[in-house]
Amino acid sequence: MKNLKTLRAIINLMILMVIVVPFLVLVVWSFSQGWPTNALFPKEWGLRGWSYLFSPESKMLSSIATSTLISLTVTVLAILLSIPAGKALGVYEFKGKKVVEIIVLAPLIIPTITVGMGIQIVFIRYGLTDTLLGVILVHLPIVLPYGIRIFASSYKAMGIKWEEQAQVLKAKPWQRFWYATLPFLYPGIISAGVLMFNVSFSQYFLTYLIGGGKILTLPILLFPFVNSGDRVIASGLGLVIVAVSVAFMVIVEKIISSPEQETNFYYL
Amino acid sequence: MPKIILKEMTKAYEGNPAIARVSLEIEDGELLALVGHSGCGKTTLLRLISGLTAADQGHIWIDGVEVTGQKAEERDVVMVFQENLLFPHLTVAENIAFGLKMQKVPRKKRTEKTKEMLELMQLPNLGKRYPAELSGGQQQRVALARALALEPKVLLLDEPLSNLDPKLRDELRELILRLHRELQMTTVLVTHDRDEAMMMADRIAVLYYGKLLQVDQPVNIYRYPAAREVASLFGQCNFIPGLLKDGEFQTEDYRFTVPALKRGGRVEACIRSEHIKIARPQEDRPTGVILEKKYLGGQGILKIGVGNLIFVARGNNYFDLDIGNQVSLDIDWSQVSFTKGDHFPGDQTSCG
Amino acid sequence: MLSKFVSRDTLKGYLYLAPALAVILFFFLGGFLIAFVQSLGYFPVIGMEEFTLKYYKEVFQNPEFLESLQYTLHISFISTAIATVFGTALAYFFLKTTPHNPLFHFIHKVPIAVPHLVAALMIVFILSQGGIISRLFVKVGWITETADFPAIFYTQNAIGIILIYIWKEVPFVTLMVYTVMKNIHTKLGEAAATLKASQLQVFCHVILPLSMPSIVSASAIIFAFSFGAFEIPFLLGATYPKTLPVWAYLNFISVDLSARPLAMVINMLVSLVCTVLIFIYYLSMRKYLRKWS
Repeated sequence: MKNLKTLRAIINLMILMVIVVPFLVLVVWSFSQGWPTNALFPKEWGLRGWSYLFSPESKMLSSIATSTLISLTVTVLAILLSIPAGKALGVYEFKGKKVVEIIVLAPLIIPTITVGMGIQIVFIRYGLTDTLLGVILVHLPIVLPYGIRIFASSYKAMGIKWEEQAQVLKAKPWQRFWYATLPFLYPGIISAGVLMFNVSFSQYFLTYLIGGGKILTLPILLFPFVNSGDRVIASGLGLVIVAVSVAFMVIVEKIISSPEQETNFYYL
Repeated sequence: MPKIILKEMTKAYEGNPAIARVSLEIEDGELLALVGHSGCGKTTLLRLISGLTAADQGHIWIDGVEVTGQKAEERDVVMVFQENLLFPHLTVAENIAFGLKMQKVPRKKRTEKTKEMLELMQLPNLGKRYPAELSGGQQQRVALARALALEPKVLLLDEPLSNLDPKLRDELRELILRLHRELQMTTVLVTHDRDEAMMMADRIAVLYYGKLLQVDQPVNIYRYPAAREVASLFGQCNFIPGLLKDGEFQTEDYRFTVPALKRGGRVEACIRSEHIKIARPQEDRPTGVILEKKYLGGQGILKIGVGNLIFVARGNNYFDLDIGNQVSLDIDWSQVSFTKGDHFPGDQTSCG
Repeated sequence: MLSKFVSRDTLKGYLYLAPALAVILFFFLGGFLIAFVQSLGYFPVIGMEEFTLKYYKEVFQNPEFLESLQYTLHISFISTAIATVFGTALAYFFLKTTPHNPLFHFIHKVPIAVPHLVAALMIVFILSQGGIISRLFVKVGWITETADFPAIFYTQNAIGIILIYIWKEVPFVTLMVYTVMKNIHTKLGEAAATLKASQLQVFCHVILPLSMPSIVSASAIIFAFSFGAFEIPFLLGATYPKTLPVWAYLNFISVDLSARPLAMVINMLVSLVCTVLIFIYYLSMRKYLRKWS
């Protein structure tokens, strides 16, 4: 019994290390100021990296704004699109449903490189490249499958009985949705929202291909730092990206209070 | 004028008829029970009245106004579902006021009405609780209160008691009856429990595979079933084919004198098990051997083989008899009903 | 004969699906279709209007193709296999330790909040020549300078890339498998225990087989993802060979526009592998579900 407990503690410690140490490394780098090649610890500490990042020169703040704007718009649009689609797949039986289910999964299966390289020419023709709108449009199909799957399973579990109950209590269609259905969708909205926001937020390739380097999101900004460049700045930027993601999650869960927040949807 | 008139209502799901040409008139202030085996179309019929389901064919009038094309939210009808479906995110008071809120009734009036309903349902002080904090019986009361708060012309109840345990069921049954008497509301109750129907209903409508077999007062349904299916739905029946002729009912082996009857010809006698008395073997009566003996409540149930027929008899004083005993049957012919000899031509289609 | 009920349902179904489906069909499958058509040599913008299979032939005959395929498979296979084993083991570990294990809720958020690029950054800062580990080795005296540390980035062994994927994917597998294991455990765990099964027997004969569909599905998803991924092999892969997606991209941005069909051919092959893989997973899952439900 005691051995088992020790083993447990050791495994826990190892997991914690594997998760936390990388963050610590980033934190240490971001506050370092001169770190000789072969030294284990920085020679000097300072805020050089951070003060650069928060200056307009680094474009970090504007990238946070751009990234948030894009991902937030994508998330809201995708939720609005995937709630009805989820209802169709969760509640109704119709011809061609199997085909639709496969189409809806396609963006999870077919790599974004294929689609991005294919669609770029169309976006160029309609002047959508280098624009926010273009980036938002190309992110949408990537995040939709998550939302549709989540809302389909919410609707499947809930059925239309609540809607009918509201209907016999004289609720008009929009009232049925607003007062009877929506509360049941809150947990789904949280998990779909967080998932879709983060998928869009961490998207590099499509943003780069359609945004053409003109639309500066955080991943675009970080990309060159991964294998070259100033590690101090790179570390700070990496931490900021994670911080924004976490902040979004916390805010969403605060805004939409729901009795059961534990959900079973994850993404890669 | 009847409160609800259904004319030739028909509804099929994926080609399978659930309700077939049902015509029915429900009187003002009446409590009508819709009875039938599971899948016979009871709930579908209720949904057609509520407007949740649109009929394929037929018409429906409520209070003299045709509502065939109206949606559920436009009809002055409220339905209480089998699962009480209280909104879990709303308090009891908010649940009760839900329908009024949907109709944009001012808040003050809603609050008053809610309070009134809580008192009517004997649920004072529970308004601030959430449904999950109530017992099953309380939840069902709140569901009723929520429906009644709208003061509908017609109340539809879909097996409202079936999820409750027996004691609560009795309580709630009395409550529904009391409310029905006090509010004089036209009520349609779906149930598969014949005792519940017998106890509660002013009239009973019997559905069989989507068709209406009989609509009548409970006592008539019991005593004069229109079809074999109705008879067997309301108690155990011995069906004996024979010929009605000259004041006699003739089977292959026996002739019985029966009370004067309007019709004759080939019929089927429906002899309820409780109307057969057991007597010592007698020459002029059907005589046979006891094959099986069971107990139900305070009664004994006997299976008796007579020739090639098997009778089931039920009574209080059959405990002393044993399997193998020779007995004669004493049938109370004044209680026996006759139905047409051929079976009711019900389609053997399944429904809902 | 369709009754009114069905047709109304069908109509509603299509209506509700239309907007989302339009977006996916137009912006996603549309892109796929264009890529497909271009892979057949149809590219009217530069005056190529004939359908041909010659670009497929060209890719297949190029010796780089096999090496590139091998390199890509190497990364995907190893990272998927290790992530699946670790993820499943961790899921079981959490199953045994959770309600009291606060780590679980932590691990729940990490994979979502850390994009691949940030994960790559962190692993590079730890494991590259000049990373923390190499500095530690110098300090301890195992190597004299950080450049002596074995190279794992920009190499054919691709260990660095694989480690990045594993770091990111283990939590994903853990969570997917854990959810299913928890359900099984609450449903069958006690039943199995009353049958006097040991912990190991319960794991081998009940929990593992029943959670197999989720394990298979998680690994299919991470395989398909890593097989089609671009950023990390592009940044940290070997100069030769490239992974298929990187190779496709290099052809795509080539000044010579006629190299574009080659890019699309490679894209088609990557998509094909991913699709076939998911399909196999789907089939095995169906068989499995029949057997177990």
